[in-house]
Amino acid sequence: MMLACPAVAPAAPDGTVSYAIYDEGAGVWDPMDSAIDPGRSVSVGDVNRRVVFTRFVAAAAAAQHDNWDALGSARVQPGSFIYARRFLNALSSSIPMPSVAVETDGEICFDWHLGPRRTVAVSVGRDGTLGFASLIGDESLHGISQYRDGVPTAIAALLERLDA
Amino acid sequence: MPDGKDNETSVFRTEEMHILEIWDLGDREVAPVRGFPIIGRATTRPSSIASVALRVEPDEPPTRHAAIRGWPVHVDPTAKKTAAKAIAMRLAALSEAERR
Repeated sequence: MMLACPAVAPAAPDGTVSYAIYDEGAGVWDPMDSAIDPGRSVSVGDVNRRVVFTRFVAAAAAAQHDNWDALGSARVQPGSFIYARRFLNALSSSIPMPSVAVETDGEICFDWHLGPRRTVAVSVGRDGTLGFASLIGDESLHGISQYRDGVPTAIAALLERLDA
Repeated sequence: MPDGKDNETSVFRTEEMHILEIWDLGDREVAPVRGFPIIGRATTRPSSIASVALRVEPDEPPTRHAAIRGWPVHVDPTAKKTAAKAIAMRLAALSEAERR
């Protein structure tokens, strides 16, 4: 059985990227604004976070219009971007940084894939809804949380187990 | 993951095919439809698909085409997507992936 996997996600360019993303309903919003607290000392985790953030911005910028992949996918909503940025900033520096992609429904997905049975995915919706799924060992979990002031307990616990 | 339009995953039955024939099949039957080049493939068995409570059924044409069906159906799109992802992760763990 073969499942073909075409490249449907926008490719993130190498190097630093600074995009302003526009949305008709929300005006102009600068994704680079206060992305990382400049007052903090910089750790390896923060450096990795900046790399992920750069890719995150590039992916979102490439998907700011409907049908961005020519397959009818929905554009990234400002709310998804804002909550995804907050979620990314709220991640502990001790946790491996995720890969990032825009999904066909316009949600932003963070993926941790440390192995076939060490994987967690979190999709960020426009209202801060966090849909998550995981496979760690033989345990498969999925659920929905809401972003408030930090990474929800259920997701934080999964990420800690992933890195154990 | 299933396609959002029909809640199915398009696959091809590749038993007894040479690896070069499999890549060629993807180039001929998948890439033109999707509009993107094939960058990788995953191979799994019907028994693995059944083990995650999905089923694979012939869906020709084109020749050898099949569909993985039985993905979760849910009114809430987020609940549907997370349930499908959890299944897809289990199926991926039972599959072999290869980049081109």
